[in-house]
Amino acid sequence: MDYAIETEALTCRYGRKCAVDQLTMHVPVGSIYALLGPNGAGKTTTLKTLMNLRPPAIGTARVLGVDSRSLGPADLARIGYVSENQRIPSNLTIGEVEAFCRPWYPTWDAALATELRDRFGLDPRARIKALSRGTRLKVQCLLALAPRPRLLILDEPFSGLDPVVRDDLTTGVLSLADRDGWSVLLTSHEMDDVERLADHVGFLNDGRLVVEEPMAALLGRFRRVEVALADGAAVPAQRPSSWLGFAVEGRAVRYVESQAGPAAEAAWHAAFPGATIEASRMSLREVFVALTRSTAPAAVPGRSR
Amino acid sequence: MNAIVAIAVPPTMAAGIVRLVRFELWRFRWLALLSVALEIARAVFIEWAMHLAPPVIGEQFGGAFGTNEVALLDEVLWLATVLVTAVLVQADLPSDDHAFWRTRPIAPVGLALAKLTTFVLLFVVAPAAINMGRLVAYGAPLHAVGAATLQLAVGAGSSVVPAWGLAIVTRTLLRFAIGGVAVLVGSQFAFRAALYWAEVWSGRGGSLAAVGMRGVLDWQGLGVHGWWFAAGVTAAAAGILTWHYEHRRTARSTAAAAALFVVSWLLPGPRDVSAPPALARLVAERLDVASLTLPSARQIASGQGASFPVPVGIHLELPGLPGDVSAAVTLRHPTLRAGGIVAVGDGSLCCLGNGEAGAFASALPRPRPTDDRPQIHRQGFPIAAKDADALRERTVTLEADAEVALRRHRWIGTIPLRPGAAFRSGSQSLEVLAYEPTLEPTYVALVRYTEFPTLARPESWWVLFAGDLANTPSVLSNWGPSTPATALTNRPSRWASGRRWVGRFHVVVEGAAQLGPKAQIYVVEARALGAVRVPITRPGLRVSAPGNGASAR
Repeated sequence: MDYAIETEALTCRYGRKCAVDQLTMHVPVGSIYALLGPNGAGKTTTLKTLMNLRPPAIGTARVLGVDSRSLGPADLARIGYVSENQRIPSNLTIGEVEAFCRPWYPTWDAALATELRDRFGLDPRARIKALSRGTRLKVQCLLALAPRPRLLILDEPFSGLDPVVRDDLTTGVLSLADRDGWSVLLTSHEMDDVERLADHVGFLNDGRLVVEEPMAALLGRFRRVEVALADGAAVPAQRPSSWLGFAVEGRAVRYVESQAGPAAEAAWHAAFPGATIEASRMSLREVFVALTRSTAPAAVPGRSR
Repeated sequence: MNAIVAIAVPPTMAAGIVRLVRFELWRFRWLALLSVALEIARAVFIEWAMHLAPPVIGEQFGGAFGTNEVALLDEVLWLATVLVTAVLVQADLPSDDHAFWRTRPIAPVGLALAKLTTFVLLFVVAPAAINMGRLVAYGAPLHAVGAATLQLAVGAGSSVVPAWGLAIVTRTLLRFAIGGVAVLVGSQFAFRAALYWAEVWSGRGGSLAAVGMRGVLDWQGLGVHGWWFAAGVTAAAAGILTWHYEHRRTARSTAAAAALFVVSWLLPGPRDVSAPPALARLVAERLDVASLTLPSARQIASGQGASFPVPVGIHLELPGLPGDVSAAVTLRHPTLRAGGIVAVGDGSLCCLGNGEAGAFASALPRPRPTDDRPQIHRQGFPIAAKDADALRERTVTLEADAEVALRRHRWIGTIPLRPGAAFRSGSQSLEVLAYEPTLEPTYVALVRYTEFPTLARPESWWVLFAGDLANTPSVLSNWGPSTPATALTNRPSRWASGRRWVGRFHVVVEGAAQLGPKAQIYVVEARALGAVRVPITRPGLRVSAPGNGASAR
């Protein structure tokens, strides 16, 4: 099994609305895969389908080699799932929830649970309903990590958390995933954390997978290009499709090159003879914004993001 | 070198269910305690009412004290059962994609079975344990304890299963409450509308009315098929709900539930036991219709008869019926034909023969022969008002299928009419708690009546009479308002079932001041003898109607 998760033409619908459209994605075993996309792109629906919380309309999803619709208790025992939408029984204490979960997981690591509880500063006597959102997410992380799962699925685990909590969680997840070679699939809008954590990226927009590749490759092929046009030089009418967000302000031209490399550089100089061209590396956040803008269905009037 | 590798094994389904049930009971411990506490409170209260409550409460002779209060407690228990079911179900809905359990290594069927087990523990095992203690203390046999337990299970299932389904559909407690009220009110409206239109279109509203709202809502088929069938249907319905957790398709589960309901409804009930041949022959040869009457046009117009439909009085005769036998007649689709007019209605008539009174008379020290005359009975069946007008004073042909249920009445015992006297026969027992004048010459005996639960169809019941060893005056009873001793029960019923098998009752003894100091209670048993079906075709009957202002009866 090369992939912890693989989907084939996965399509999910809410009534007549298509939330995920023909999604084919691959999460390599041992990787930390970030599924990115703007709000409403279909990330959470994808994760719910992978966890068999929703049935797919068409297509298949295989999780740890098992069809998602057939995931049984033995399979779920190898998967840790964290979602801010998940409701932990609120009238119980952290200790009671932990005690309930422990027997279901043959691989539950009590020492790791204690370590995580200490690291996250969780009081076993505290009632779930009295906890803040961040602390509840910490509890979910504890419950997801303590069984030492082979696959961790994290749905927006960092959203709305303060930097300290976020750091606790990323450190916890990162160190454990590294140590044990877990596969991780996460969705998040916190690009800095994702850039630090993930080694593979998938970009979902309007239910469709636009990009899927290793993080290094993605960041390596995107460049912010700034051109100072020579006097009398014109902006080329025909532009390669790899130029995203092309904008002209007076004598300055800005765009994002999505296929950076020697061939692309040659194309820049050919398009802007005599111009001063500066290309700089982009952060994941900038790549995300560029991709979102370039793949958004801008042709749909009145749609805003 | 061989290494011993420990392979961790996930819990088996059974172990998982046990864990989940323990978790449920802990998680909802206050609701569980409330359910059990209500059950204990009911048991404590009824035992107090049966044994310690004074006969006179306030200014009233206690009589049925405890009966209404226990009925109220039963309503509270029902409400608690339904609400606890909804809360437990909605805490872990099968298709809730936010539910905690769904991303844990918990099998959906295991979760459903754990819920079911929790309900069984709370609503069957706990009440059955308390009930068993009481039954054993009253000296009930083991089979009565078993019967009561099964009846408790069926009773709990009758509310838990629909509440479970409704809780899944409505998803929140508020919507569950609104949905529940809507279902109850809506079904009442629908039933009444069905009654009305059945009457308007076919004149057979009576058939539906006979089934009653309770019969329509009897999704378990208890009324027709009995306890075992109801238990089977309940188990099947619970199976559908459990299966729903696996596939989570509402349409599929609804279709399965509808199919179960239809099967339970349409499956014909067990045939009535046939009457002894000699009696069957007698009924077939001698059952006759003497006359038919209609209310006057003025009565119909002035209100009594104007209400829809109009009753046709029918005078039945069954001469030669033995003194200890009575007959109840049900006319299936009685049809009146006159020229082009056809009127159809349904009716149950009761009763032909001396019945309990005959048995009581024979028990007196100097038995008084019963009259041979009252083998006639006049009651009626309803027909449409327009048909009634058309049939007035005409000669008609009556066609009907008569179903005649025969009963034998037997005097089975006598006890002094004084506090402390007791009588027991089979699974029934009677104890006189007090005997007081209320409004002379009427006395009231306060009795404690016990009938241990059974799964068999009810075939016998008791009727009580008061009499005097000196036979002065001789008290004879007949049906009607002048009955000197009110019957404790007057029909076979499933009164005794589950938790309900003991009660405190009034027995009103009219004219008791004339009874001597050695007054007795005569216990007469009525026992079903079976039924006879007799087709009736009676031509040349005149539909008479009294003059304006006269009574039809």
